[in-house]
Amino acid sequence: MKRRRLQPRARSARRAAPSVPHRRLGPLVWFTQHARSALASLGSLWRARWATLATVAVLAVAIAFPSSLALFVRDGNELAARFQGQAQIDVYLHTDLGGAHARRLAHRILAAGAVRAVRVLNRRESLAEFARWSGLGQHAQDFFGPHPLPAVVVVTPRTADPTAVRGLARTYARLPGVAQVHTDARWLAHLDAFLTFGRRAVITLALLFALAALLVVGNTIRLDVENAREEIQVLKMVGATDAFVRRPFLYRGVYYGIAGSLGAYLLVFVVNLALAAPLTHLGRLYEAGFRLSWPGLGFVLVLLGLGALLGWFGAAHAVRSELRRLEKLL
Amino acid sequence: MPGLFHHETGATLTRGVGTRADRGEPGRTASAVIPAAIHAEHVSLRYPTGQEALRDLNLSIEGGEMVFLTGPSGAGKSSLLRLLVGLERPTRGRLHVEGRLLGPWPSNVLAYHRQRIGIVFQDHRLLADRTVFDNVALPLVIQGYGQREIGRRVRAALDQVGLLGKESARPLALSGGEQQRVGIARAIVTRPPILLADEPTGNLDPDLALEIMQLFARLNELSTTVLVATHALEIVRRFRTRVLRLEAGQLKIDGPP
Repeated sequence: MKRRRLQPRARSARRAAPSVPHRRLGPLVWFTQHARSALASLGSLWRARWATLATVAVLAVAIAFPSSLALFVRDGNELAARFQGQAQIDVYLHTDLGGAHARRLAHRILAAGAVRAVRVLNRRESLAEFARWSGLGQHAQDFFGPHPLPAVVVVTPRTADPTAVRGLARTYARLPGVAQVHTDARWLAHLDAFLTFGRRAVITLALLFALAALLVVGNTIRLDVENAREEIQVLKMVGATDAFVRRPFLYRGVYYGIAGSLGAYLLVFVVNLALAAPLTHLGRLYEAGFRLSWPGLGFVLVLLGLGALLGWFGAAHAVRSELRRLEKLL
Repeated sequence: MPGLFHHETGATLTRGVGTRADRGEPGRTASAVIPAAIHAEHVSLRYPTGQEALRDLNLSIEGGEMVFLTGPSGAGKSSLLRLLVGLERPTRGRLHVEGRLLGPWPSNVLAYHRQRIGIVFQDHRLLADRTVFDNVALPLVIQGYGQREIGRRVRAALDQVGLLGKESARPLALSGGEQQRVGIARAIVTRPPILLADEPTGNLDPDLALEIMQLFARLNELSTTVLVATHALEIVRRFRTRVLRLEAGQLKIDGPP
């Protein structure tokens, strides 16, 4: 009870503290001081340009790796969405049943709902399709005889969800005259699982590399603060506030982050350049139409924003702890 | 209940009509009652190492006074100056600067406190990679003065210390005495009411040391309160001014040299 009554008093005493007379800084002065710090920070980075370049290169690699991976996963997602939109169930009839039975079955499947489209292939059409896909052409009939294949009802379900597609396939398998049902849901499920893993990997790696970037910026700024130790001590003794001392280092952190992001963008671009052609060829072989997408303006802006934030956080943490240490050495 | 910042104007802390009235500070008029520039009541300072730097120190320095703080090494001279600029806090007692009770202030308040005190160091503490102008301008930049005002004040301060024309020189291109005068110009450029100097002539030959002390005396004539810690007694004796002698953290002598 006693402690509760004392706390507001302590707060009011703290509020009364900043009454040492001083010049109030107007917005113009505030802006000028920021502009000075921003320019001075650029100047100091330029003066130590090789060290700056090394730091930026490390940051660029740290940011580029998860960024490239994120682009791959995004392209994979688009591919999966394209395939899932075209989920297909092939219902094979017994070989002794003809096109008439297949058409009746197709009507029944359509009437049951949950289906976007149904296509019937009679035994002759089945053979023609096989001949086309296998590359045997006219020779298919020579090999297998006139009617080796069953009639097929090709169903395109409304849903793309692998579980729902499998459920529909089980229903169709129980229909009269159906010999076998084939669905592409299985490999879609594999792709889906792989992409889920990819997304998780991207997030985990992005967090790890963000931590690495924070440590790189933090360590670099810590060294910068150590190198500016004498200057900081003088600044503090002639009345600089912590904000004034901190400011140029925060700008440096932001510059490191932005430059690292730009470097990362270049690396992603180079990686894409190297992998685009072979991946497109691979996709074409699988008739998957897979194509690497190029990082657009939105991607670049997000990269720059994240880089700047990482730089700022890394620098802020390092400067705060270093200033606390230097204060004791004054 | 006194707060962290406590302004006292009691009889023991005040002097008569303000001699610093024309300093142009807001709220100060010729008829205002001005507190003592520095006032210590039973101040003790013990470092975390256990070393007792100051013991039950009582003293009062009026605004516009010039005082030499003497004593052997380890007597507590630098410790008193560290207390005055807020680098240390008294272990016991109360220390007032311009009527403000020094306390556990937040860092920005401490910074504002230091903006009102000019400090001159024995080793000058000039930034070697900046020109004389930039070094002197530093406190003004911190306090947000405009470029024109900075230029005017820096030239005025350099004129006062006899270094006008050396604005674009680098500190390392100057002699020890000149570097110290740059340090003094930096300390006075904001026209602080109090000027503290810690062994400002420690690295200088006797002639230069005397020159620097005369410079402090001239600044004091402009009504700046000056407290100079030094053990150059032969120079101190040349000035008719108050001397505080510390020995083992205690005030032993308070009077003329």
